[in-house]
Amino acid sequence: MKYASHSTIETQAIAAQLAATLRGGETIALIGDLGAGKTTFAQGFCAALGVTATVTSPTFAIMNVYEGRFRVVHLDLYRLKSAREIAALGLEEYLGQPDTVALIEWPEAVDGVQWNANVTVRLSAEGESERTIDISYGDGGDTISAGGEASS
Amino acid sequence: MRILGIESSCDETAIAIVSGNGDDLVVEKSLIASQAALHAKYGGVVPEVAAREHIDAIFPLLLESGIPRDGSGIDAIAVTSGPGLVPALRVGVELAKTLAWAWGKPLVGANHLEGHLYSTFKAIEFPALALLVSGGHTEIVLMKDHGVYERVGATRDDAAGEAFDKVAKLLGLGYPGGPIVSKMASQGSATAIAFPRPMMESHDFNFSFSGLKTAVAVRRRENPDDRVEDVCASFQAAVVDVLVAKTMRAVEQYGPKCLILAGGVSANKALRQGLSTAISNFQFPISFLSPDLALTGDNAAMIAAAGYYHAMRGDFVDPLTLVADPNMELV
Repeated sequence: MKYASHSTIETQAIAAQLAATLRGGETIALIGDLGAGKTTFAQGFCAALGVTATVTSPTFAIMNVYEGRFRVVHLDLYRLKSAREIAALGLEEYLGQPDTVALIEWPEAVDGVQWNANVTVRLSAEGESERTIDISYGDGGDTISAGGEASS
Repeated sequence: MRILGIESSCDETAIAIVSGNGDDLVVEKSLIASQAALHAKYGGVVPEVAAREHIDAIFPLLLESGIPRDGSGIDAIAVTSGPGLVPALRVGVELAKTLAWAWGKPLVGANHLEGHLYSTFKAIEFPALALLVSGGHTEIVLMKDHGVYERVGATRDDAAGEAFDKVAKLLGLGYPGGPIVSKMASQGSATAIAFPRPMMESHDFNFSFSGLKTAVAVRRRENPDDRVEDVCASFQAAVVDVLVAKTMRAVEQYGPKCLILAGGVSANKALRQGLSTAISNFQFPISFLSPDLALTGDNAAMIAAAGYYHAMRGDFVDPLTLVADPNMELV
């Protein structure tokens, strides 16, 4: 399902709609270039799950963990280069746990790692504040409807 | 008092020895695993940027430090216990606990950000205000006394150092971005492109650099012929303008006796000059403290220094129960 967003507020509302469909244990892949709006999307997503902490970019920290209605693991693989580095993160404590959802930025950054994401979100910048947000189940097969302003 | 400092919260594995007497602190040794001389000791492998292989580096560093096996000459141990990545933090924390227990020495669990506040190795007059800027953090901290802090502002998305790294990536300049963007900026025009000054008008002390990064991406797409030097200079000017303006506004509000600029981005010349000039032009005299370039990035000397003041207060933790805290708050 493709959405057209015209502002950070709309992007966060679309993220909130996706968050509302989760039951726990999901892994969500967040894909988009620098400046596509991944952090904005993550902020709306976390806020909708009741996270009150400030959600900042995890690029440097690699992983931030927030507590809300679910525990939200916000992961950013931008700086990682090898599967060994991912193994060192101890993600098995989190991924797939029913009280946890994982939001993974740059899942494609490390070759050869299969995330088996439940949902894939693709963001792309169309202009200064226009964004296309494509939300699909799994690796892009069946599409889901989270409601809102579908544009296609 | 001699303190052994241990840091492993993010990319750097580091060990240091600091001796203190009153407010005189001296760095006896500051070892960081990314130092070229040490690479050979663990197989010539340069640590990947986020390789959590602190475990491979930390014992060679301990040996390099020359501390006797029985810990004699060390009065206390200070370790970064948060914030950071748990698997990384644990390496330093478990080593520190083990040494403290085996040697029978008191242990301090220090906050990584508190370490940066103490990275100048100069006497701090209170109240002090600190601008802490790095790849992972951008915040303004009010220090009322040793150990008494209040965070008055912080980034709401990207850290300033992260913005430098990502702009470098957008421009194809490589990683890390700070030094190279700063170098290119010195050959460009800071007024060539009017990038936004995010949150300049907000009435708080918070920052936002994500939108500025996006503005650079958009500009690059629409004007691919801009000189890279001009993009760098104009971007850097936007970052420095916001950091200096917000910090000076906090100075006006809190009336500190000294201003500390610390963290990896404090190595940026334009920022150092911009802030020190603003401070020297301020209506009241304020001392300006910033670390030696070698101590701007993550290191263990600053952790030992922060630990020293904990030790002076008798603020120790039990080596059997200290745990790494990924979300450890400064206050």
